[in-house]
Amino acid sequence: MSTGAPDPTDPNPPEPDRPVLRVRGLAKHYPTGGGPFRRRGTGAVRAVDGVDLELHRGETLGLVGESGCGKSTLASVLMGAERPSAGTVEVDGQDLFALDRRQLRAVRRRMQMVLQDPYSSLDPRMTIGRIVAEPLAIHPEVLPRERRPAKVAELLRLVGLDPAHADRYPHQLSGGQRQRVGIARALALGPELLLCDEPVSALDVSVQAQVLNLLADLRERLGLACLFIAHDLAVVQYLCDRIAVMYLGRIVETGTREQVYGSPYHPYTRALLAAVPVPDPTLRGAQVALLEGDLPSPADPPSGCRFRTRCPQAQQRCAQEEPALTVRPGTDHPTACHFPLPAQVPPPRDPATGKAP
Amino acid sequence: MTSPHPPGPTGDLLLPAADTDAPPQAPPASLSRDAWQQLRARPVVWACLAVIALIGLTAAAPGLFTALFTDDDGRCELARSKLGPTTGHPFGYDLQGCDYLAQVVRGSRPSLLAGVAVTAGALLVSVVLGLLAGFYGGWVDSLLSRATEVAFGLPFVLGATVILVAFPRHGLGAMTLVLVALGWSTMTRVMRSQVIAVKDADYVRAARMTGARPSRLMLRHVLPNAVTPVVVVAMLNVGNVISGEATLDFLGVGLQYPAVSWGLQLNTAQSYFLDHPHLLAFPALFLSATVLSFILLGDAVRDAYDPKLR
Repeated sequence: MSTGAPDPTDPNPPEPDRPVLRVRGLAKHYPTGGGPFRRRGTGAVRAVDGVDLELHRGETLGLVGESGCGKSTLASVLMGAERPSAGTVEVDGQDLFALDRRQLRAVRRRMQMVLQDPYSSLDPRMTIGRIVAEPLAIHPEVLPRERRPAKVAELLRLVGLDPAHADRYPHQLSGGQRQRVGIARALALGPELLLCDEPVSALDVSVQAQVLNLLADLRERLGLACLFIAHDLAVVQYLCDRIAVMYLGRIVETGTREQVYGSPYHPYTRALLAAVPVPDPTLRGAQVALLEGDLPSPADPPSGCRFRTRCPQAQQRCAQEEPALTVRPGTDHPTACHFPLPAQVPPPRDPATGKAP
Repeated sequence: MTSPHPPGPTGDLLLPAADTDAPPQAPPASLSRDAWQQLRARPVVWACLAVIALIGLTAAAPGLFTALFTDDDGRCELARSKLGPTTGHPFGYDLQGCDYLAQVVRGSRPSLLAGVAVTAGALLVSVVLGLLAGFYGGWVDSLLSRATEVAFGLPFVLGATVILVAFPRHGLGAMTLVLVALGWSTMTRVMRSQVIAVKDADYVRAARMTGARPSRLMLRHVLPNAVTPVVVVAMLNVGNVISGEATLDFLGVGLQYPAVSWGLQLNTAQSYFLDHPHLLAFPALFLSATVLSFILLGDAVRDAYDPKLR
């Protein structure tokens, strides 16, 4: 699937362990207010506020968090659709926002995105064949025109669709088939990096499994690096090597799948995991420590630790000092919490003790 | 009786990774197909199309109608001025003693030309401006929107009267330009709002993130998905333009005497219509039928394309 030999003029020759995607201190603030009659810069919605990520070749990173935590904003900045307010995004060592237009087009060939909603992400007036071929039409240097129909057929077969579907329109396909078309489009240019923004959350549960299997299979066969954004922890656990948990624009905990699912240290991660339904009838009736309250407004985030307003063990220090995302004594992976929970201790289940003094 | 052969394995078993959720097998339903189905079932649509086709034929080949329906030899005799319908001359004679049917039939051409040309011109202007304003936003949008509001504030007939009176020597081409200049604003607004609604659609975002240039986004994705309502408004507009053109002729600021048009015929008829009602009746009948057909057809198309009215 790889297209073309490595560019000899590449200013950054490949180093053996360079990550495909490296994000440093990324922030995206949307200014509020403004307008001719109001003072500019009165405030900002801090949708993403200082995120560091690394993604290596062939690796899948799951980004988890509840609605409104900034996952999708992060994805659209990573794809270069929006400029970040601060920080850098490096794709294979090249800073995405320091490139000129031509270089950016070249980088875009290497990273593609699968969008969330298969119903709105395909142009209703284009046939499936034209939709899948569009990335090839945008980057005509990849493949000569006469070889594109064969490529489209190959891509459709790759995602488990009948190449005869190329003449159909999106409304003639089911949701799962449409999402397969979206995946085929993302693979058309032979990318190294695939961003999946909740690719199955708009699908039926039965179809979700098929699309997830397809993604897992393609990732193996094509050696893709995957950033998988989701709010469904079961989906992430199935597919991802590493997990990053996001809360209100920040990463609060990150580690391998075994580390994060096995011994979550951050109270937020633990609450997220506790909210996953457990198919075990003996646990029926057991109280689950659910989070109280809503996500605070990203326009006015709490001081210190952002999670303290909903944290069961928040203390004075949490309001004053912002916890850094580091490995703390007694933990084996980075957490942004002053008081990481001890490993292997079940989270507090009694709602009466849910709130710390 | 049972089949001698057991049912063989079906092709389904050989298909890799087929989706279990059933793909819709019904005939493809799309908005335009639905709209056409709905339009086809309405008699008023066919009636309007018939009238428009007939008028279009009179504009394209007036000789055909004069040859079929009158004994007109192309000569005008003042002695026959304003005579009513007789055998061989079913519409009677006009002020100059010319065959009135021939005159009325020839009057359809400027009306139809103006209606179609003005609407096509205004449609072109509004699609381009609306696309630019809606797609780019920012100062482009502010500039174009303010210009649209200024144009929207100008009254159609009054504005045209003022401009045409200032330039007395004008033909149909100049009138068309003036009417385009006064008529593009409504369609531009519709186009702009459609473009704004479409440009943030996921499929446009997807193409943008793949690296598509703005021209490709606008022409391949935004335009085809945004243009339908504007075309519908344009169809409704044809009738308005025809009546506007006739109004200007009637007021004496549009086409001038040697030209032939329904508006001019109505202008002439206003002094004589009590004694010679046929002078008023025939051009008025043709004008009303044409305008009504375009407006009813536009209405039907709008109903068919507007999902909210279903």
